[in-house]
Amino acid sequence: MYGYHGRILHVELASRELWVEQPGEMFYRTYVGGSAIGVYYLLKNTPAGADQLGPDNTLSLFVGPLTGAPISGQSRVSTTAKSPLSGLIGESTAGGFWPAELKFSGFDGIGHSRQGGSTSVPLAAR
Amino acid sequence: MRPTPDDIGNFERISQLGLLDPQPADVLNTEKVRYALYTQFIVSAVDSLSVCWFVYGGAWQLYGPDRMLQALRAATGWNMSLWELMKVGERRLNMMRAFNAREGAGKETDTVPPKLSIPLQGGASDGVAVTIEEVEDAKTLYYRMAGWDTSGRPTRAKLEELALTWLADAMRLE
Repeated sequence: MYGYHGRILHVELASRELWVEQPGEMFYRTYVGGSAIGVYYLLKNTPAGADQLGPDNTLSLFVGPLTGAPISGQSRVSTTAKSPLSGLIGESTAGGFWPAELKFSGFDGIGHSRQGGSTSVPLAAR
Repeated sequence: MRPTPDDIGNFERISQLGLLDPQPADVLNTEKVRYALYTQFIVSAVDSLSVCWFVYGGAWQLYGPDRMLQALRAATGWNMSLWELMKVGERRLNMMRAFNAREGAGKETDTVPPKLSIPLQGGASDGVAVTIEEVEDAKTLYYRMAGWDTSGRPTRAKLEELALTWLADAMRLE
């Protein structure tokens, strides 16, 4: 498989656990990346009616198959969560060096689930 | 006045999506609903690739649908067609729409600002407005084209067509 690492990092903030999921090629060709994969995990991991500011909301950061390639307009990351404002689908994208650096880290994206009481910063830095 | 393809600088690109008949700016007709649907699919595909809206897209961007597809093929090695790429975009839209349906939102939240129904005054657009009825008719047609029910929620058949049977099951759609 080209264009992907085939590895997605999951972070459970409540228990401070990290694990790596390795979806197959069919998953990537079906959903491709960005907020399409983001909404996939939101539908799977955030229960219906969850409080968007409560511990059951989940946040994901995903790049795509072109991220990090030497072409124009590729360094974008999509953030997907249940929107704190509307309580409906929430998506925002950002650019700069960070999305390509995420790809260079060996992951296609990061899914965060179950917020804990403690800050996520030590986990992210680990 | 009805524009011709020669008036539209990006016609070559938009025609790749099967949108061949440029419409007057001041009407809301069935061809524009089709235009909205197809251009949403390609923009949704841009977000599925997680690339920049200013660089990739269906019309005025640096790279049109064919170049975006070319880049995707080069990066992945997949012999993807524009049809499959459009379906990727449609799949993402339907997953998001299903999420909103699951959280209780549908047709009633698909509204436009009331200001659009107040006729513009002066200049070339003097008197131009869309009525609430025109918007509601366009919405109804859009839902039918999209394969959604009358309240704007994806149907089981549409989700299954997009290989999202797991989602239709999770939403307990009949």
